[in-house]
Amino acid sequence: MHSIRWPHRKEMRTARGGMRFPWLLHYTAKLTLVSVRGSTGHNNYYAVVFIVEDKRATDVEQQLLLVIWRLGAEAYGLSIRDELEERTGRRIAVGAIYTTLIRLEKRGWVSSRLSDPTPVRGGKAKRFFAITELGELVVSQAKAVLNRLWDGLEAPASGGLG
Amino acid sequence: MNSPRTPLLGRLLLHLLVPRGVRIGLMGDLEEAFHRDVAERGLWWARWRYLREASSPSLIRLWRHARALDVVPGAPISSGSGEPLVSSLMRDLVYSIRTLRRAPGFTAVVVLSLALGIGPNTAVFSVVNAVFFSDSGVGQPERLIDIGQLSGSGSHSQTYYWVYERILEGTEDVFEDVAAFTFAVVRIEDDLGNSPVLAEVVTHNYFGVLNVGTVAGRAFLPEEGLTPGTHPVVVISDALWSSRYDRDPDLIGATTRINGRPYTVVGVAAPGFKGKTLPGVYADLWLPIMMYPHLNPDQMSSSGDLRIMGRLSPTVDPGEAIAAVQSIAAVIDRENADSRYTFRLSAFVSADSFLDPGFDGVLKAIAAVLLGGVGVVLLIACVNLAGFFLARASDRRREMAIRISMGANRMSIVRQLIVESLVLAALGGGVGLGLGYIMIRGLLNLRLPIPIPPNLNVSLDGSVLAFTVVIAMASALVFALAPALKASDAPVASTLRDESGSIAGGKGKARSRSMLVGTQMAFSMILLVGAGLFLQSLRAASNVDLGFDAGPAGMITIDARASGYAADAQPELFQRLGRVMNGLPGLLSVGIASRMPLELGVRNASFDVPGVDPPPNADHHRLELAYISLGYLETMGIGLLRGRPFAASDMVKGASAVIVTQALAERFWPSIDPIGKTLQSSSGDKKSWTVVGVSENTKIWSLSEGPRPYLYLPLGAEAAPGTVTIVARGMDPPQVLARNLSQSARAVDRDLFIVETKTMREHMGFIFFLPRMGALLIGGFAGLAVALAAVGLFGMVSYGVSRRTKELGIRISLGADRGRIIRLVMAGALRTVIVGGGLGLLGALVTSRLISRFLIDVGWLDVPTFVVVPLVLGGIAFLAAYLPARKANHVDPIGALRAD
Repeated sequence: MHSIRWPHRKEMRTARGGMRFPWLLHYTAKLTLVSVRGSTGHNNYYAVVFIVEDKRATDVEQQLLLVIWRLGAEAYGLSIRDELEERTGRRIAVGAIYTTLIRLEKRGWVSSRLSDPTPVRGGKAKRFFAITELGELVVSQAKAVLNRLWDGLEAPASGGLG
Repeated sequence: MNSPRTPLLGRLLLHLLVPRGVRIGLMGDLEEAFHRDVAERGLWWARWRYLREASSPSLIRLWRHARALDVVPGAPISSGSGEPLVSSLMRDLVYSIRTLRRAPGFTAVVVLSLALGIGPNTAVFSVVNAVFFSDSGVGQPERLIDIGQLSGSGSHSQTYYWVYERILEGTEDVFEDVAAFTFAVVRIEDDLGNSPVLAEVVTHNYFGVLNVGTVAGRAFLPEEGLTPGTHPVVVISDALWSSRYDRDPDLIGATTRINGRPYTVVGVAAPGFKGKTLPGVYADLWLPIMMYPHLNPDQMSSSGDLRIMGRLSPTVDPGEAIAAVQSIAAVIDRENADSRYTFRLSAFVSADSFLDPGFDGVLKAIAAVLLGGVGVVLLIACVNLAGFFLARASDRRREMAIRISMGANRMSIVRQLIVESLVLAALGGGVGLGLGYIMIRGLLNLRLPIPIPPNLNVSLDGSVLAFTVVIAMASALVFALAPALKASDAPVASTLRDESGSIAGGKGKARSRSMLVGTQMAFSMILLVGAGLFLQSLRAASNVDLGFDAGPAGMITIDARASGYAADAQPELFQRLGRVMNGLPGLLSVGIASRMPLELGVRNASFDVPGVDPPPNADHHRLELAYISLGYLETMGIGLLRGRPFAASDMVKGASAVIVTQALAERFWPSIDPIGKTLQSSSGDKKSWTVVGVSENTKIWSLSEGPRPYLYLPLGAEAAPGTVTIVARGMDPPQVLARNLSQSARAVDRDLFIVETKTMREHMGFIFFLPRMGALLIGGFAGLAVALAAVGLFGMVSYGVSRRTKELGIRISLGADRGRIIRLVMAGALRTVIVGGGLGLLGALVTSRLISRFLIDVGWLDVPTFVVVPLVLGGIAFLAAYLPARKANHVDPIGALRAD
């Protein structure tokens, strides 16, 4: 018989498509099925784990969410980058934008869909992103927090962005 | 419409790096951005941006999240693609190492082969790199114009101080400033000892013109370049400051002795500045040109050894400046209208040339021969590599087929093969780098036949490393991957069913293999012929009639001037030395000369010869000469053909006897007795000299020169030469003789500066240096090449035998006799050798014409070489084919037929 022990990280495999609980605003909670391989290799034990992570939007995430919100139906990788560059003056590699967008999508703050292929892009489809209700809630919440912090303070005239 | 495409490399990277779920969207975005950039900013900018995006580090992080990305129906993510590339690469690496460890013999041979190919390349490249691509530390060399005098033969050469002054005052509108310099070997002495170093003797504005700063202290001041001999100051190099003075800040202002006289150190030049003497050679210190008379009194005005450089004014174009220099030359030439000599100057942009346009060709040719030699070795090694992999590929066909049938896709197999050849490249490159390092050490330890160590900065720096990495990877990828790829192409079912050793199989492979071996033979032939020619040249060089006795002798070179003897005190010193030396026990004869035959540099002077016109384009006869003492001709074994040798009465001041060589006598007095004829100095006191004797010709500059006019003047009759060499023969070994000479010279004057103590053999080492190095290097490369080719041939034949085991078994069982079997196996190999060797011979004919300029007394079509080399190579090839072919005899017919 095997003694019961907490599986090593390498022995845990997260099952694909764990359930998410998007209604918890600041937390993503994930119910995952973990398989634990026994030392003989034959007996697999399964466990259900409820993982809770603190998730609040970082600066970049907030900026991306707002840009997507603003662009509406026209939000895809390149337009998001251009808009971000125009509004904040910072240029981010498309790869980095995708990295963040995928994270946001995982958390349920944005959703995405593939368009029909377009010839100007070498026959490649566009992945359009749209902000979800949850996403709107997250940025609004962040704004509210900032507003509370700003209450009674006066920003210098240049507004910081020059 | 022909719209520009995104860079292939970028697309490849994206395919490798981006998880499939997001790939389409991301690549589409980048492509759209690319086309927009092309329209707005141009194609290259767009390509650059695309590549930057494709190599962005953020792409790696995409993997972590990509799996969880939900994809809309209709664009499925296939389950297998979610694996991060990095971890699969890791797995390939482990697998490759395991595969290679399973075949240690194969791995060792491949790595060694690669290393032998790469090592010499690394070594030669680092030398070439140090000479050609070393940064001299000069600021803005593209705005610097080098100026020299155009000699009669059309080469850029050094010039005179008065020319410098003319250029300085005549080019104010094109040059910001003009500097001049020459170089000298000086003796630096302080508490740390006494060592010869390379000094540049420069005008005060030298550092300014070259745009070089100081790291400590200051450069020269204008007043230090005004009056001769009044400002003994020195700027030293950063390297000398580090190595000799340990970067002591108190050195600035301190005194050091140079050639016996105190100099004040005023500054340290910026690190990395190497001076302008030669590319890749460091100067150790800089002295003001006004101190040159002290270093070398009779050189300031009479001998033109200055090099001039002008810094362009900001708005002036190099062409204008060069034209201005040429017009000064035209003015000077007009002023001397009565002269038959056309005065010409040459000028070129410093950055365009390694040394000067005339000498660049020689440097480049040497570099080309060396790089070509090692390149061929690498090629042969690579061809070997291809041969090994071709053989191995057929062994691995089964492995590939199994992996494919188990569901591996072709891409993953190819990726694993790439990883495998990169592992081999890394191993081979690593060993090759080590080998190259050893070779560089060996090269640097060769005692160069020049009085100071050249300070060539050869090291394994970044560019050498990069070079090695690139050639290792390229050779492994091209020559190892191609055969392996072919193997992965095999049709699965038939490969699994079919077995190696079939009679029909691998016909095409055998052909490509024999083509490879044929190529190797051809290249080996070329290198071997080259080596043969260099050896012949070396042999010819040692058989050349020198005109003097190069047998054992000891010699010392002393610098009387640097030891503090004024010109008029020197004859007395030389006489005293001669007397003391003559009294030494064990010495048969002693002679003193201002220059030994085949030494670097020669003194010459202008003469008028009554009744003989000077050569065209000159006003006087320019004759090369040496001052010699009483016993010199006798000691050197130079025979006297007519007349009498010098007598003691010729050695006093004002005497006027000269001895001429036969070549000189024949040139001026072809059909009459030269004895009693006169030569008149065309400068100074216009002194007349009377020929009293005619000597045999000797080699003066080089082994390949023809009979050359040369003049012997009595030592002590005229201006003192400053530096002389004392040569002695005797019963003792030459080293002992030389040591005795230097001891007795010290007995005469304890502070005498003895520049060099050497034997005749060491002296001759200089002139044999090039042919010896050529024979050594090319011979080494050729030996390597032949060894590699022999291994390749051996491998080909033994592999052929093992593949044909079944066929041979059948033949033997049907009664073929053993000799026939061996002939059968070897026939193909020998055909390959003959075809390859023949082509190589043709190639060798072409190459030998290219290298003939480096050969002494050997024509490009040297019959013995072209006969012997093919025989030698043929013999080696025969052995390399015969040894494995014998194995065919031991094929057991029953076993061969049963095995399957």
